Amino acid sequence: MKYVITFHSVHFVMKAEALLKKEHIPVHLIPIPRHVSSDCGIALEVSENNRERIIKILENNQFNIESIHEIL
Amino acid sequence: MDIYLDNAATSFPKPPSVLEAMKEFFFEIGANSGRSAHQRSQRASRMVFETRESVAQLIGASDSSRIIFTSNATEGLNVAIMGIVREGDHVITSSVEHNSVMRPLRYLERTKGITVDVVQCSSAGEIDPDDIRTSIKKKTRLIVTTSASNVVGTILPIAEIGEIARDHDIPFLVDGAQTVGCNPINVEEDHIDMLAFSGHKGLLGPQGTGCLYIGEGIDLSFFKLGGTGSASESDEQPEFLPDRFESGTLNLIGIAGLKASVEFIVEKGTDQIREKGRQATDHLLSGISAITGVSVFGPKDSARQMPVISITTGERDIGEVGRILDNRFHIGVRCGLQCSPHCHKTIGTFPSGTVRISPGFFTTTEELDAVVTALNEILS
Repeated sequence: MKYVITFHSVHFVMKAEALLKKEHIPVHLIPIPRHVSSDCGIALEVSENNRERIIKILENNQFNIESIHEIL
Repeated sequence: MDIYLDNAATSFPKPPSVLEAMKEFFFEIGANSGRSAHQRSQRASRMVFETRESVAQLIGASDSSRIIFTSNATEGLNVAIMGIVREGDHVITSSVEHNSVMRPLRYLERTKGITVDVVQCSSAGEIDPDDIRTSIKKKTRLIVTTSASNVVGTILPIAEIGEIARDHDIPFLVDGAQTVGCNPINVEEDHIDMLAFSGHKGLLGPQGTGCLYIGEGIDLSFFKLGGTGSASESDEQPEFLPDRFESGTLNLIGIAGLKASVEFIVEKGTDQIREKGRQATDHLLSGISAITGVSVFGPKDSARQMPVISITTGERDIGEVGRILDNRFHIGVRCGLQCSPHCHKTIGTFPSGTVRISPGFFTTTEELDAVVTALNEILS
């Protein structure tokens, strides 16, 4: 199972990517899936085993997460 | 060999790494930022993000999303002033401001019935912060001052003014065009709510770049609306920063250059750059003050000014002096009012203006000596 985390602005996607890279947590940037949002932006794709840890790091860094979705 | 002493207008030369970064963007990246998901677009978005982070770090802003890219300091000042002042408000400013502050304020006086108090500075361009405090009214909506005069280099006591603004809960906007990159500044410690600056002066970046820092709790109305790559399903402009103020494609190649120039500044250190500027000021002041027939304006003290020196040349027309400096000695300086008529009225050189000599990061002692020698020859 994988998850996609979306943010309001690409700025925060980039910020999340930089932050998680520093923590050596693998992330992928993917186009926001159409069933999640009709937006043309990008989102973070994370694996299930990293999910809780990533959310915690983002919340500790005052990230405003827009949404989290399960994807196959 | 020509000598460039007009760095207060725009800096020259730039670090070669600036062009390298622009070339890399041009040849290797090239895509738009914040819009698509493909690799090139991701690289562009990453580059823009990293530039914002570097700029934020340089000015002491903890949240880089509060830095928006503009085309120059003037645009940032317009966005801030036009975005915050409402009908009937009162604004306090200083008598050494550039037209990029005075013209928006005068326009709002005429069109929105705002009132403006221009606090008088001394003939050296220095302001007494208490005069700002006593000018505060119930309707004061904004205090806006420059961080240093672009005519005489006088450094204004930004932290003290910031404290007064904070104590009275009035937003404080600073025109950082003459100091950001060459004098340390910290928006959070200095209580600066908005800081507008160009990328092409002290930051040594390309023309067409600039930034506006918008502090937490500052509510500005937008100045342009359109595509941001975010919230695309909505007809409404997004509320969140930086997207709210960045509709349309950014000056990406310029921002790529700005990133390299800010990295250059961080590597050199603003303390060291400031020290270098002080040495240049001391050197010029001692050389020029000894020339008969020259009057020097401003604080005449490197501790109280940026490396910007304005002079008049007695009976000799300053335009002619500038022309001879250029034609015979190949030295570029700026003559006239330097877009700051109020400052010239304050120092007593309106309407004829001054010869402004402004060294930069790469100016050598030999070049400073050359302008002193040239002035000596012209005026002897």
